[in-house]
Amino acid sequence: MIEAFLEGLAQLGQPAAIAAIVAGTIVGVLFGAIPGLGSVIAMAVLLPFTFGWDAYIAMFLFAGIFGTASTGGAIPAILLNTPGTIANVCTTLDGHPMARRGEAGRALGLAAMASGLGTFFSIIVLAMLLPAAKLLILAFGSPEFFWLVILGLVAVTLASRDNLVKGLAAGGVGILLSLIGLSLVFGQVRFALDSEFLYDGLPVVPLVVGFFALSELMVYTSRGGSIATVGEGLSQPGIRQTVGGALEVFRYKRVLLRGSIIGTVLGAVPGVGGAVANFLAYTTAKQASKTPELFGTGYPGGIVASESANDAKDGGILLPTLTFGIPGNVEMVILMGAFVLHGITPGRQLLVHNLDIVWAIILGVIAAQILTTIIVVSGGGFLAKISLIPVRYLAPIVAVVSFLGVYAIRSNPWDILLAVVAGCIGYLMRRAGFPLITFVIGFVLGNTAERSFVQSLQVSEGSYTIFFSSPISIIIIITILIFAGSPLIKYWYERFTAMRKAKLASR
Amino acid sequence: MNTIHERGRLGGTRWWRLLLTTALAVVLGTVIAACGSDEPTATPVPAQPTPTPVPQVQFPEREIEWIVGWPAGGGFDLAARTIGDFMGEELGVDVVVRNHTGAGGRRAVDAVRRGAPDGYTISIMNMPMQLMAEKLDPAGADFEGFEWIGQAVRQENIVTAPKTASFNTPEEVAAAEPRICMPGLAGHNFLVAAVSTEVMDIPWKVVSGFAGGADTRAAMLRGECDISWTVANPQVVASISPEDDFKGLWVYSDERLDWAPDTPTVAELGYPELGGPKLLNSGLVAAPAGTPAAIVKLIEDSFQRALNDPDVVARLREGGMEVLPMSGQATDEAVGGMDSLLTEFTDVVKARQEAQ
Repeated sequence: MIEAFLEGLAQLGQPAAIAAIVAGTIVGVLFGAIPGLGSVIAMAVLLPFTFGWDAYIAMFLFAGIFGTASTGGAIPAILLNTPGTIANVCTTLDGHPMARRGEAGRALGLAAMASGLGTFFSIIVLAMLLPAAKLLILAFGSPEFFWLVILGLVAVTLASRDNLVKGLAAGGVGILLSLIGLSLVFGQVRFALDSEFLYDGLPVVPLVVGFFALSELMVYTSRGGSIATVGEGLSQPGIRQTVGGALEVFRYKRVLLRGSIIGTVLGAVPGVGGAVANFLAYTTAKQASKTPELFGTGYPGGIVASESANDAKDGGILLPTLTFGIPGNVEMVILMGAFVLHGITPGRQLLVHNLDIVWAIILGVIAAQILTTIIVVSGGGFLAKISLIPVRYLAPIVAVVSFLGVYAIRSNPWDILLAVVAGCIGYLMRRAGFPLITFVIGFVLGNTAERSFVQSLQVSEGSYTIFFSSPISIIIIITILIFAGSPLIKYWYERFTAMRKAKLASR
Repeated sequence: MNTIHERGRLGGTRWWRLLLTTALAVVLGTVIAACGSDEPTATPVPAQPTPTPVPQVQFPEREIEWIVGWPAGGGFDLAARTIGDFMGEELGVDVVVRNHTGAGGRRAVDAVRRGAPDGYTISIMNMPMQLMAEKLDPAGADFEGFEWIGQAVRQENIVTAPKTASFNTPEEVAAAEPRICMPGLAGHNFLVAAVSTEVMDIPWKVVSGFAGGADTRAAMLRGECDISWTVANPQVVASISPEDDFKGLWVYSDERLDWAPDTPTVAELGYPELGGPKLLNSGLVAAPAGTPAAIVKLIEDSFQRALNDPDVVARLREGGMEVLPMSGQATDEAVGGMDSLLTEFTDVVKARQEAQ
């Protein structure tokens, strides 16, 4: 443990590592600050270019990107009333009114510091849980792992609350597509239509680049103009005001702690992610506040709640990814893709055999977050202007870089075509309201679910009782039932209260 | 990787080019002088003594592509890049490694099968696995006429089990009927296990689909499966050390291995037909059928010199691979040996695969 930590720390001291973190952070903040171009696109586009690098350096680059985008996203949220990433929605509620009062610097300082502290909190929690996670891995055999994957799939489907049926459909199609190609558990090639391209199954990187990056670009291009329109009264924030704002965070200790806890816990649940954490932290802060009427009028506490939660999710979301290889969101899907590309097998054995890589990521996230706080405090006003670049210049550049990256992985031109097709399907899915995240998590976990299911039956030599024979399995099954039943319970509860209200009214 | 490349650029390539240019200038000067005068003194200029007969081809004139069917960072990729850098330095052109990943390494075989026979395309193949994969394919295997350059690297096979396991010899294993841990029912380890269990009369009970060696070992510790056929990479070697939880049951090499002196060979245990290079995971290098013999010889000579270079060998050993130089001719014969063994066992392997 200590050895691996020191190894990670030693790697962090290399000039190349520092360069990777700085580059990752700048890209992360930049992509976060451009609405629509979040860390997912940044990671997907850069992933193939890390090919052939030292694994540590690549991990530092990604650690730099994925933790910082939601901090960068606060910049346009405050200055332009346009959230940079979906996790910054609640930051606009108080951030932009402050900016219009001429307190943009103060708001940026608050956001940067709250983000930084939220990340620290969650990363410390993650680091404390790691030693225990190693014990968990030996306790999790194939049947327990199977249920864990099912739990992840159920959670991510339920996260698409707007339309559960569309969520189920997207997840289901994702699972079906994951079954294409050589099945290691059966040794057979399935649904490959005798094509060499499909022999290994659909490659995940072109798929993710297409689904997220290209379809997003299509949305913006079809709309035209620039990503954000100029907010009125946009003043250049002064550095003194920003630093003052950053220090002001400590006045909202309770809001900060609550936001951090909500972010960390929700981050660990696959599919929930920063958007829900952001919203929940904001609403609880409002409910718990003695002055709820101030929220939404440019109240600093609102920014602290929103930003601490959306960054605290980073530590939480790393937990299932690093311990079990179950990615909670698309960023983690790409991070796992990066593991594979660099010869690291994600999954239960990561903590046993690549603990140094795990520490490298954790330390990288911390270093990047410090850097991000500095960048946002000192250069937030400048970064906001990127959103004013017309899409017709921005989109082609990002698209071309994406294609280069997709091709670089296996030198296969068909991968580019796949990315384009995935982009078109992703665009149509967006228009039709299907959640893309459910699709991708289904695609990543479908295969794993099948594998652990068959493995369990091989271990038990055909007996299904193995799925119900350990306490861990039972606990996970109960959790799944609670999750799956939650919409029904909510429905009953609402009907019950409505009936009681009706009774009271009729009296 | 970069450091070697840079060294090649700065140290080797320019030096060689300079030497070549000078040599050419001298030769040209002599020829012109010879043609320009009918003086008999100019005619008997002896040619520069060379170790090999000068081929009648201008080769290489541009970069050579080395196709690898596996991603960058893997063992065969490392082998191709390390050996390729050395060869590039010698031949005076870049040897560019291209990772044509996909289809279980078959794209690398196809590159040779369909490539132009001009020496500018060579490829490293995973044998005997690649041969087996094609034999299982209804379309059949076609390795006819490949110009084998040699063996780049190979990995030993070892059978491991938890130290607590009651069995040691093949007979004991057969009696204990253990569950076999198998990452995938298609790769090299599967092939060795399928053939071995048939020959050793061990019942075929597998738990398959583990995500690599570490996952397999964790499964053995959890008691989900009991025995594992695997290539001997550094992690496996470490796992059978006295401090760790596993023991080696037998190896497939002709001699006992340095790092596992207590583990017997299959020949010692009475199965000599499984020993030797036939079932070892080998990275064999080939050029397309019909490549001119002179060019093949040039590539082969440079390739073999690379494998005798201490730096190259050290780098490959670091990556967990054995370097056993094998001539093109010997490689050709080894492939023949693999072919006859696999022909005998194709049905067995197929049945094992479909037993799930």
